[in-house]
Amino acid sequence: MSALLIVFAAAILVLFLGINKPESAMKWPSVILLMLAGLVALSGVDLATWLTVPESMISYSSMDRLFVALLCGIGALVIAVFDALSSKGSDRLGLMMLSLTGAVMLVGQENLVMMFLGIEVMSIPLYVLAGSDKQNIFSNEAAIKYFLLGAFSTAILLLGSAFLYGATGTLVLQSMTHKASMYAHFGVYPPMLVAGLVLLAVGLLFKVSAVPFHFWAPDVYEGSPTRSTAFMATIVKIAGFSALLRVTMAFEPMSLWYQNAVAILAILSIIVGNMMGLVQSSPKRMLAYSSIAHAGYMLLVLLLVGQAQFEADSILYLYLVAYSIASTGAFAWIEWATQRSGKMDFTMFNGLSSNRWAIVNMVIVFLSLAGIPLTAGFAGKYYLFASAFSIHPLAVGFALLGTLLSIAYYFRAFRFAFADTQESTPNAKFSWVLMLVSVAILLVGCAPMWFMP
Amino acid sequence: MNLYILLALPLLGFTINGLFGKQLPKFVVGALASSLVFIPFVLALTLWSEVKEAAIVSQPFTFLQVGDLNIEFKLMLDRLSLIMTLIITGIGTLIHLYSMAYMADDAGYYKFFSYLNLFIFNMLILVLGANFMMLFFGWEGVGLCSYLLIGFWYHNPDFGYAARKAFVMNRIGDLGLLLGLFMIIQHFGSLDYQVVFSEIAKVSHPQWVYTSIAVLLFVGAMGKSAQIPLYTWLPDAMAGPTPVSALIHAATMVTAGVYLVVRSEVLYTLAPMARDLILYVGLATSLLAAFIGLKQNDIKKVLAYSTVSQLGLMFIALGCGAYSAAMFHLATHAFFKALLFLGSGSVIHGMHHEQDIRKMGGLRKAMPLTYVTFLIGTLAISGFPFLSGFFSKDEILLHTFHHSPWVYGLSVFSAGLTGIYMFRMFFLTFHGTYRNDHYAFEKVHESPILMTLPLMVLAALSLSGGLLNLPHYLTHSHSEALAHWLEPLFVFGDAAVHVEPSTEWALLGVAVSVFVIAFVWMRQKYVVQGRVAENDDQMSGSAKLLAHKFYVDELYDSLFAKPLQALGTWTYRVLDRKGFVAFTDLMGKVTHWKGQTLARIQSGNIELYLIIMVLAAALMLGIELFA
Repeated sequence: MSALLIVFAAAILVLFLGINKPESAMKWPSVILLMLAGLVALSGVDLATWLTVPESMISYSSMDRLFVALLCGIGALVIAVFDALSSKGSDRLGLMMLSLTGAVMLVGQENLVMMFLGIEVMSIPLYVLAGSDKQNIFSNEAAIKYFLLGAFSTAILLLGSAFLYGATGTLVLQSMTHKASMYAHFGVYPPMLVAGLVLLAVGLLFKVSAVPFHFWAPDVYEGSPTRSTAFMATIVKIAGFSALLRVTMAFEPMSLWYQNAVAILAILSIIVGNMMGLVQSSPKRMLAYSSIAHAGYMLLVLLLVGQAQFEADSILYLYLVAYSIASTGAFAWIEWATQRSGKMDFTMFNGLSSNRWAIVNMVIVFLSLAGIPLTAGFAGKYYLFASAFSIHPLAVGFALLGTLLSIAYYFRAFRFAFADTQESTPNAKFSWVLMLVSVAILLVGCAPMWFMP
Repeated sequence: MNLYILLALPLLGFTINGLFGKQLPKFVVGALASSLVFIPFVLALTLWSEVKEAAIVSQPFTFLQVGDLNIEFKLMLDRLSLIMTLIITGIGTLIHLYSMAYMADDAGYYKFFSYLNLFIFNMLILVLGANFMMLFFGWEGVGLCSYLLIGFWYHNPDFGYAARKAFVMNRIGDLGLLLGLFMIIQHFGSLDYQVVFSEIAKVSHPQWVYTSIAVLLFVGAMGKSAQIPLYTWLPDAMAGPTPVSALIHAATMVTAGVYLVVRSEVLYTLAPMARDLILYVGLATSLLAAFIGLKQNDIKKVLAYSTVSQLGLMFIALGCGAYSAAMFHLATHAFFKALLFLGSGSVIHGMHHEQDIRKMGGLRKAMPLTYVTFLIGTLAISGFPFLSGFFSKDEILLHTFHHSPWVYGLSVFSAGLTGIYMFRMFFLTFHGTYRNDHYAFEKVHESPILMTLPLMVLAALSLSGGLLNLPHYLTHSHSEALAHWLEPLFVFGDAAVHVEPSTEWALLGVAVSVFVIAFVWMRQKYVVQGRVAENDDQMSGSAKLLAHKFYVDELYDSLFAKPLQALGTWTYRVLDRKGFVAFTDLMGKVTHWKGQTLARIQSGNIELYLIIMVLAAALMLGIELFA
């Protein structure tokens, strides 16, 4: 709860203090504030004892606080790793932090109203951020598309919430669990409950860009400024999956009923994400599809809910840690390569291998996304696949095939980086933040137990 | 004292020289390497009396644990491994010293010594290990070092091929050894010598188990000890620097197979069929190699074939069940063959890398020390009375005589051939006239003291090596010294030999006369008549056959290498390129094509996106509501 307040306050602070100042002035203060929020979340101290919030609206368990810390950490990382814009005003930083406020709310929600609120607070700044490169027509297109499709999905989500309320007479997730177990006991589900659940799921699946609700992602990811893309690809995934997991846990008594549907969606996401990733010529778009594929893998976590021997939340957490760190790194590399070469396709990586520290860091990031051992990506995938295998071997089989395919397109970046060393003279740029990203990836990869609650 | 120190010192030498040798002065590198082999030798000597009481066993620790099978890292110094250790470290020290001079101008000086130390380390593991796993560890380790040292001058591609050949041939043998170990695990549930051998001694398993394990272990020995059909690598291994040939490919590593059989004495005594196999393989190898040795003109090649032949003789002894006789010959062979190799190295050094004996001659005047020591070595190996080789060979011949007359006959024949090719080489090298036009006789020089000193020590050993195991007709004791020393280790012991004293003297007479014939004939041919070995193009018939080593290399080439290569080419061209690669390519293309088809949906058309989303949601609703 305290973290939520800090992030919110920081957002307002940055927004107002940053007026008419270059963004770089507010960059490190924002990072520090977000880190502070993350640390507060991690430690669990309650700074706002005077504030009483009903448990049925929002509450943070120790697991939730870890998710909050991850959100704040990744938010800080995204801000730190990308160059600040030179133009006046820190509104983009403020918007990012506002969006983060929504994400933090989403993680702690106990109530459909709070969930809706969180999603909206998170999404609306994102629409603006997608279009924040005002001179760029693609950025504008991305914003419009994201907004239209997002509005549509929110409508579906709201409709689902309404149906659920109609079916159960409550908006509190915990109470819904009682109702669900009651229905499960008799084996009949009223149509309104089913319809509500499906529509709610569609709304959330849209946010995490699972197939077939993923269409916005490639267009929006590609058109938006890269920093916004990185933010979307990480923060929204973390918050979205946390919410999805919570809803699934609430309806856990009905797990037999939805398991196949989840598996099918996961398989679809994995196939479409990876196959489309294979044919992209733009690395940014490739990463968009890769994020769809990763959403597919993470959907497998939902299969673990209700299985006492697995801790679905900590497995998801580890995967998200691995995914979001590596994703941020990958987007940062794409941004750096684009700025350096002025190209949008894979040739942007040409000659990168002559810059030794850059290539080492980049390789680590992409290896982690592909899930090669000793990187965080492998640890995340290993725990996820190994646990899900006993529940749904077919889906895990597809996930493994998908991982195989994904290696093809992740390694494409290396091919360009190593193939042509004459073309460009890379300016040696050292970023300790990116170095930190590599170290973190290897650390999580070598000692995943430290990061699994 | 802790046995691990024996291992740790050479390993330390390997590490120091391997990591920092380049920065250290050459003398320091050589002296360090030599002393780290010499100290274990002294330590092993001090343990003599202790080992005499009982075998020393080190504190074991778990090396591998798989299921019920617990393999320990455990060392054991008993009477057998003590002898091996003394030979390895003793001769090793001499050869290290020798190498300091021999390799003085080599750019890879430090590398050479670090490899040598690594070899000593692995060889000690091989003989000190208290279970078959440790033996295997050392077995592979010495194989690696052998590979590295044969190909030491890897800039010459031929030497590289020779190294590869040695490695591959050894791998074939290793496969047999490994299978043998697997069978031991399967039937006895352990690899520990004590456990396995006491289990075997109970004779609780069917005969075929013993026979097949014994044969499989022998296949391993065939590879390492260069027996038919896996012997062809050893002559090629002469590509390595001469000290390496002396240490690894004559005195120590190649005798690992003999050690393995002696160590598994219980097993082989219970598997007479396997022992017969050993006997015949040894006999065939001994004869074949001796024949080939007759017409080789490379000084080191002659010695290499002689080594193969002598190893064959050791296996003949093993086949007859004369374990201590084999060990005796192993020890004396280590002395005189190391001496001969080092002597040939001295010649090569003095002649500036000339190895062809047709281009030598008359060297006795230029290199007196080398000449004398080489003469002693030659006399010892050809069985000059009362030198080391005489006694050790004689004991083997005695056993073969007891086994069957025709085995005895062939063995004597082989021993006679030894004298012939050795004296042929000796006279061609040191007597007659100097025959090299490219290198003036005045430039031929005696080697430095660092090289001749080991020669003299080894010559002394070759002279007196017979003392190790003097036959009972000289000592009038009940049994020979070495046999007596090894006796407590054996469960069944050496095959008993009972012959009349008169027969024994007759056999001695035969041996001496064979030596005399060889000596006189060769002297007549090469010294008195002054003939020189014919050039390659003058050879005909049997000489050509021998000079070309019975075309065994060519036979293996067309029997195994060519068909395998053809198979490889076929699998590459057809199975791989047209099969697997085409298949994976196809998979890639299909995926790519499907991806492009899918990509058409992603047209940027927002209405289409919405329609698909709504349809998907509707589909899900429909399925969940009505199905």
